[in-house]
Amino acid sequence: MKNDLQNLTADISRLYEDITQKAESLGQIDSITRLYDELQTQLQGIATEDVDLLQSQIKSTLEQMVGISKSLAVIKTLKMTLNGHDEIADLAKKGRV
Amino acid sequence: MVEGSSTCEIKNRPRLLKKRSFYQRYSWQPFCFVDDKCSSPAHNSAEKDLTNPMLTAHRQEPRSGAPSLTAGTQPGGFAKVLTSIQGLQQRLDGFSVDEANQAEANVHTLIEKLSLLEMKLSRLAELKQFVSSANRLISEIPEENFEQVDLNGLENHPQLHAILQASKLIRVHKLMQAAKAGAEAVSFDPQAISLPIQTSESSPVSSTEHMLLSPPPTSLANETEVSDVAGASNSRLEKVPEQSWVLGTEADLDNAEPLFVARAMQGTAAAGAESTAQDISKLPKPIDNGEKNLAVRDTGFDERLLSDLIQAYGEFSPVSKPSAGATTPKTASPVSAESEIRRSGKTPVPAAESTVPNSPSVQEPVRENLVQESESTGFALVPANVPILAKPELERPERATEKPTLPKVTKHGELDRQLKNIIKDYGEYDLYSHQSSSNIKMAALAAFAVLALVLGGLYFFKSPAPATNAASSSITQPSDASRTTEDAAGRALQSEKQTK
Repeated sequence: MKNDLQNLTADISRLYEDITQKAESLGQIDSITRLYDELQTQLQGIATEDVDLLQSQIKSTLEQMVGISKSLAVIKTLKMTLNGHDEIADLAKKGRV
Repeated sequence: MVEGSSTCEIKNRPRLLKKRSFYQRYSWQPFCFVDDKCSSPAHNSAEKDLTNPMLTAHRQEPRSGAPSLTAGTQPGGFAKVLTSIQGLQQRLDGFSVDEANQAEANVHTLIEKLSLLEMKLSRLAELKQFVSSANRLISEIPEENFEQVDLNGLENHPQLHAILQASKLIRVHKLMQAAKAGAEAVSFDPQAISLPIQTSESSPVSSTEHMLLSPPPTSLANETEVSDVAGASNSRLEKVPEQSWVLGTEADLDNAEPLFVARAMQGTAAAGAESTAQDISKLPKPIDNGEKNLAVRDTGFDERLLSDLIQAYGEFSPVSKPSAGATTPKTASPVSAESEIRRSGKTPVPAAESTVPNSPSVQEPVRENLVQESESTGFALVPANVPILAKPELERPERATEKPTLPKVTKHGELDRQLKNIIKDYGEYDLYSHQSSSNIKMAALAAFAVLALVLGGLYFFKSPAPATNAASSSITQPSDASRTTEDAAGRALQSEKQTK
């Protein structure tokens, strides 16, 4: 009888630990579900067409910015070629100061 | 890159752009090296908009039939090239290399930000697709998965089923015990209406209660076996804080947290915690052999099991550290009891009795009966009185307020206590309940038999009495006086009939 009670107590303790762990995991699942619902709600507020339009605009802007960057590189080359002496003189002055 | 207010007449203002600051020239426009529409002949300088920020430069259109500029055959062609280069140089004088570097850095930053934004947008689109697919998967999950576990069945979890059955058994027996005690006290203890206030020495029940809740006296004159066993157990109870040795009720059992809860919490808190069986084996043995022999008697109840349980689980073992808040309600109650005693003018009541001010007078004889029965059977179950006692109503709100502050350690041994209470309840039920019910039945049958005998005797002895008297008188008296006696007998019969 004593051994049975001890075994029963051990089983109860083990079972309680399992229940506690499962309850914790269930709580985590509950929070995850809540966050998922919020995410889903926010995603439903964003239209796919708006996203596509924004993506296309961003792509065109990027292309333009790349062109600007290339133009700036050419301008710098020309500047150094044509007015390099002035810049060099300025840099020399700055270096002296 | 030029300013907005610049015109095509660069020669008139050759160094104007260089003198002005770069940032004052607010407008930035990409420089058109290849195709300058402003310099075309179609573009009239008089029609130009001065607000147009585009750079205007002269470009010499080749005349028809003239040789090309690259041929260099004409002397004016080289001069024109030089003029163009000079104009370009003047335009480039409007900003410095640092400003061009800064603009290039800004452009690179914008490119990075835009690329990040594009990536986020692409991820957003992917997330939307993922959410839609997840919703589709969730909708495809069958609902039968959540209905596999039936709380009433629990065939897959026999341990949990056994726990639920044990808890139900505890509740049922507690209720039966309370109902039985109340019925016995009301029906068979008419003297219980008046509560006799007794000192601790006068009654064994009060002495045991006093020993339960207060330090025992140094010497007792007449120590019965009950008090021996109670004292043996209470010597350990003194170490237990009063909060952990509050007389249990159903509400306590409901609100109490079982032992395995605290053990599981300890097990989760401590890494590599020992198993529960090892914990049980490490528990101190509360009762020594001499005390154990006192409790083992020749009764129908398995006392060895009870003693082993007490040894193994230790209901009377100290379960927690004494808390300061736990002693405050106990210390406050004797003052009120003493004030009541002064008002009523009665003898002083011990502190253990005063801690139970609202205990009904009905329960005192019950305890006496139980202790007397225990004396008659030679078996002492002093802690068995504990769950029978009603919880004082004055303590309930205080304990309700104290519950959040109580540590979980005070609920140690609750499961063991419940298990022992089950065993004790079974024992009490086997020992006392059948005897008491059989005694009740026997008493009722005896009373009915006595009443039937009395009524029968009255019926049989009263009705033939006049006939026998008349016959005896007719035999003994002479014939001349028989008329008078017969008249007297007839009158007596008539009077009896009238009275009937």
